[in-house]
Amino acid sequence: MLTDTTTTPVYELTKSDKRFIGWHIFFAVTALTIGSLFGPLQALQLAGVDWYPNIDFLFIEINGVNSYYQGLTLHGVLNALIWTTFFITGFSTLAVIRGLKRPLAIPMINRVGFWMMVAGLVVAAIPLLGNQASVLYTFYPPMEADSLFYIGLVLVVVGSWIEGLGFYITLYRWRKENPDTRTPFITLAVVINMVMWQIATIGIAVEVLALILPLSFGWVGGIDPQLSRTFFWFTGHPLVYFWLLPAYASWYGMLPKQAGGKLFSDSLARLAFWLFLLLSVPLGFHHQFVDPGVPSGWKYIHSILTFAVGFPSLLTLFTVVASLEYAARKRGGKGLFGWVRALPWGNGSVTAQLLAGILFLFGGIGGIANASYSLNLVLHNTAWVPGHFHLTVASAVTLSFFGISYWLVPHLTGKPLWKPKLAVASSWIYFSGMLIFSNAMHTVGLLGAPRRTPLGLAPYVPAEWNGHLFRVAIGGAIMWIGLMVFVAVVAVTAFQRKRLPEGEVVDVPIAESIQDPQLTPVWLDRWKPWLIATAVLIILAYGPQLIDQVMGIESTSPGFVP
Amino acid sequence: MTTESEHDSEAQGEFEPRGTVAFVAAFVVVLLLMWFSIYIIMLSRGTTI
Repeated sequence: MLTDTTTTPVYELTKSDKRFIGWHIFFAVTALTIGSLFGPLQALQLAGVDWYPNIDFLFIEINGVNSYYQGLTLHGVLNALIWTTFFITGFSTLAVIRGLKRPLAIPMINRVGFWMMVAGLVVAAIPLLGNQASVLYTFYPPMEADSLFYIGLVLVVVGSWIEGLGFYITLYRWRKENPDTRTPFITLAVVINMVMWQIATIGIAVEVLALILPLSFGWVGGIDPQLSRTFFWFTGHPLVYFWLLPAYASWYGMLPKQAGGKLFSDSLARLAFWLFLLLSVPLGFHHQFVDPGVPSGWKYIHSILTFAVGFPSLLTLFTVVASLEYAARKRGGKGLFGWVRALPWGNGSVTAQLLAGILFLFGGIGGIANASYSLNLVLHNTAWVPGHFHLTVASAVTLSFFGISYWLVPHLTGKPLWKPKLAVASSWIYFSGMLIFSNAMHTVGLLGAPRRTPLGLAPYVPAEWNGHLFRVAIGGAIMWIGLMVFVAVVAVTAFQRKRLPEGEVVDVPIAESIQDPQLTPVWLDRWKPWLIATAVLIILAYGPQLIDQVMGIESTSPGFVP
Repeated sequence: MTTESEHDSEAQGEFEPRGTVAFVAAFVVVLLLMWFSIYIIMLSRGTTI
């Protein structure tokens, strides 16, 4: 028996485990639901239809511009930061427990981490709802929010670190008992993601603790926006991989089983994740191509490193599609491309993840354009950029999380998925809206439309933008409908009285690999060389520039409260 | 649970991901076409120096 040589007995999630993971999903979906209310308002505003005055009673300052930026901040923080972080830590908890087939080593650690995240969410929500933190989710200084906003975010990040610590201890103890067994892929994948996250968030921790909070508390009179942005983007780009890698973990480690097949290559899957650990962090300057304080040479180096991270992305494309082709041919699929029809498109979980992958193909193409040093000047700070990241975090990630939820919620609650056909429909509706929305955002961006701007109030909008901005509004509204259908399906599933028939369970779909994981090279299951290489590459790619910027710090920009 | 022999027979089976190779090749072609279309837009706007 080579696929499961662990000496640990099989472990199924306890009720307590399920409840704990369920709380993560509850907060994640709640944040998504509230944050997404502002999505169509943003999209409609761009097209000149301003519905914010209709909900002014929700806002302290009754002003179209303030409402727009408060709404955009709530949309970004709740959807891009809270929905993702809570879902990912919950999903990772499941992947660690179920992958290693053992309980968390010290559950209290994870519980402390989780409730710290919840406390952080509450603390950050106070100024957000009070329009005291309308600084967008990138919170670029010298824009200044109420201190509680930053303190809340710190608690969320530190809480996630503590949950990660619980994963490490659990994996360490498992390794002690199973020194010669390959770490189950699904567990390795989410733990690599957590390590990458912890390394990456050092940047934002330094930015907030050393630069922003002293300004916010009034201890210093100004801040260095350049240095702050450098620390922010140390975290900001790997943040995208923190969102994406759990989706990849599902695509590699679960979707093949759901599609009726197996993982095409365990080795390629592990190699891709290690390369993401290695390459996700040292490339932040490609977000700062127009920052005058960063020398061109360093921008060029980071541009090259960004192309390098395209390699594990292409590995992922190849391995995941090959796994799907393997499954489809087992199901009778024929032809060079005709096998795609044989995939189980009637399964809401599978469909959501397939559509996520299709949209992400275009996100990948846009990402290559963003990373190109000279080409970036055509796109920089235009509507192209939110068009792009809606194809990553709002498509590849969010639709994948839809798909995961469609088996996860029944698994956690012991209740059948409510209206499975509606689950399929939710993804198609969302997918259709995203196609319209993202295409229009990319196009109008190429025409020069700026991002982060209430274009509905702008006097300079040329006629050639209007059709595209109208499509932004239509696409955004359709996406919201698809999302609300998703929320309805998982909410009714969770809170209905109907339970699965006695003896029937919805299991965690963990895919086997075609090749025995024990035949995977040992170096793809060892942390030390990858961690050392990651540290060395970060030091080389960031060290000299960071030293230069820190030595030349000029905290001369006074804070600006929007 | 599958045995080693089952793994081996599947690993050495007939499966060759021909569709996947064609798919990835098509993706790379589309990527290049879109990248160059933006490059042409950049060139059409002239020098920025």
